[in-house]
Amino acid sequence: MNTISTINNVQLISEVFTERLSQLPGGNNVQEIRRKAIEQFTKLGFPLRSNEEYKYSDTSKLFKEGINLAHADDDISKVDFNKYKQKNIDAYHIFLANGELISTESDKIENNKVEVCDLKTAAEKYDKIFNQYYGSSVAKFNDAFAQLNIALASKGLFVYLKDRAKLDKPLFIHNISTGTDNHFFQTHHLIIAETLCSIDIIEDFYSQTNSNQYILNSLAEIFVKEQGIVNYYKLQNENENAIHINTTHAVQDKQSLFDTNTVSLGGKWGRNNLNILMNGINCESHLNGLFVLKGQQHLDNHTLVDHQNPHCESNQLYKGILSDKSSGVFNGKIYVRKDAQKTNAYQSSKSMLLSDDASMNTKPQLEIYADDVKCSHGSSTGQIDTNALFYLRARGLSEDSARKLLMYAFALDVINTVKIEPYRHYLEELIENSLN
Amino acid sequence: MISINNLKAGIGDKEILKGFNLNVKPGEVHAIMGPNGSGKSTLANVLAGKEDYTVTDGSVTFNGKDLLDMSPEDRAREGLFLAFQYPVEIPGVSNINFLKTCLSEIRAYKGLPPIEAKDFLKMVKEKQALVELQGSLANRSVNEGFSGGEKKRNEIFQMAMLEPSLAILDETDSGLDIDALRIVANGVNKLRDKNRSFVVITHYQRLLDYIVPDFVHVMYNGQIVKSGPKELALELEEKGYDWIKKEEEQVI
Repeated sequence: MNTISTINNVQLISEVFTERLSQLPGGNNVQEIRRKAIEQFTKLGFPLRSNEEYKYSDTSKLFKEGINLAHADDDISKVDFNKYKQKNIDAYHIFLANGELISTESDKIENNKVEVCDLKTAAEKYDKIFNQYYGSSVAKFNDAFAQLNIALASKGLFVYLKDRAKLDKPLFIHNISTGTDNHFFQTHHLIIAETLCSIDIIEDFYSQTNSNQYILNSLAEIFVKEQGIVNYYKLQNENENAIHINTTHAVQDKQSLFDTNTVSLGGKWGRNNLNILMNGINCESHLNGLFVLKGQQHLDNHTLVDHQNPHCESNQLYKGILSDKSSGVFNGKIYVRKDAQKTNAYQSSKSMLLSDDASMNTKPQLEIYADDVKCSHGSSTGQIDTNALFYLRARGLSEDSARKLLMYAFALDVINTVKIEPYRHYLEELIENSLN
Repeated sequence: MISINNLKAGIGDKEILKGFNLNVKPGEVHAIMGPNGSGKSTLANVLAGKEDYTVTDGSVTFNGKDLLDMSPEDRAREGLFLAFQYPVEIPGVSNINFLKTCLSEIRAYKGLPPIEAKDFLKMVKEKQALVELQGSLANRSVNEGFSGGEKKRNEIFQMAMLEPSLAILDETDSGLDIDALRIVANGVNKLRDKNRSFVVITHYQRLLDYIVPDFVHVMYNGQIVKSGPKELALELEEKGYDWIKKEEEQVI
């Protein structure tokens, strides 16, 4: 049954693709990239458990009710954008509804070295750059959702920094989804920081109501050129019906820095692919992630760091707190290629299970082909430390506050890596609430 | 203050406290000594409410209330304090925020408003000085990376902050060098007053040179087998515990 409806969905998607292709942003070679991507997607189909990368996250059940590929832009006028704006965070606030840039609600950036616009505008105004970069980072990433996104995405944000631009405030991208009834849509951000440019990007994901049901397949391609600095913070806080699939793919050129922090609190089912390609020497990257799951939530974090060049460093810390019947996955792959001598690559994944029915699957994968490297990985899954709990209670804390304090402390070292203070405080508050 | 009658408790099927009796009046300092395995730490943990232990018989009345009926946090809120033999390291929880939360919960339990930030800081400063604890330690995570001596000083600092009516010190002297021992003991002595009582559990007499008890009890095999004035501690130091063990075995 599942297989049949999944095949139908794939067919439907490829028909819609043929229909839409001529209107999708991008020149001839982007069209070619899109065609190749849909071909690949059709070949792959929606991943089943038999696919090693989706062993714990069967996607066929997500689509068995069918999908709705129509544009869901009819009720954007009802969205109260102000609700999503964290007013005490001094940033350029940019609003997207279902991937569509809402210029009237978004802050203007008065900086001629920094361009922020939608994909369609970018494909016309910056056709050369758009055609050069769109889809290029993930072309070889053998993931059905990423390929589908490349093929079909028409909406999303284009961020381009040139001439040593340093954006003075964070760029805060608010993604709001209004879709209902299995609305299945693709958003695609293309972010390019040229040589010596730097930017802080915060991206959050919210649902318009606390029940609208949709499937979001989002992708961010991030290019950090020589000596560039990109700090990228992602917060997923959607409603309990939302299905969230995300691929973030960064390509780092030499001496660049890419730090990321992925916080997942909401949604019914989530998948985060975070891929970092170290394409030059002396790159550095920190990958931090935190998830708090409850009810029947499922979240799968997949990271891939590809050390292709010498003298690069990557450092991963992922933590999860799981209660009720929630389930989590951490799969961290590190490649150290033959030429990548003097690599430092570290990975740590820790989770706390608060109920007997919660589960966590962790799989570190290190493939090392160079001989002069420092690599390590560690993972642990445990419960709340009962000795610590008793110690706190013996000082007068209620069991409830003692538990909360320990969970909060567990989560804190991930949050502490957020360098933007008001955003960090915002996260602290959200996490405190989600631990209630 | 506290009245312990015929207390029997253990872990699983193993009975460790075998009919323990003790009465402590306000302002008194009682020392409990005894060889390893006599049940001293079990007593401390049972009184503080550690759930690993099961109480099978007996009663404990604390300031007129049934102590055994209370959760660990309510025992603390009612004024019982246990200085742990092995203070737990809690990464990510700052000492100061932790104490602030404790104080507010204890005050809320007593129907008092939260302490003013200004008064709290003043109190922290005063009490830190009491155990010569550096300010930087108070701002660090609870016990994380503290030396043995710092951990024990931190216990006494917490005690000073929480102002209990009964403090149980579980081998607070273990692992301390002579200087740290003196600092800890000084801290305790400054907190002695006519309304606050102490039960000092120790293996060695040397702590009692600094914290002079009103009574000394010898615990063996889950019971108090001998009680006396402070001089009893000296006698024990001289003769060792074998003397007590032999006496006990003869009785049996």
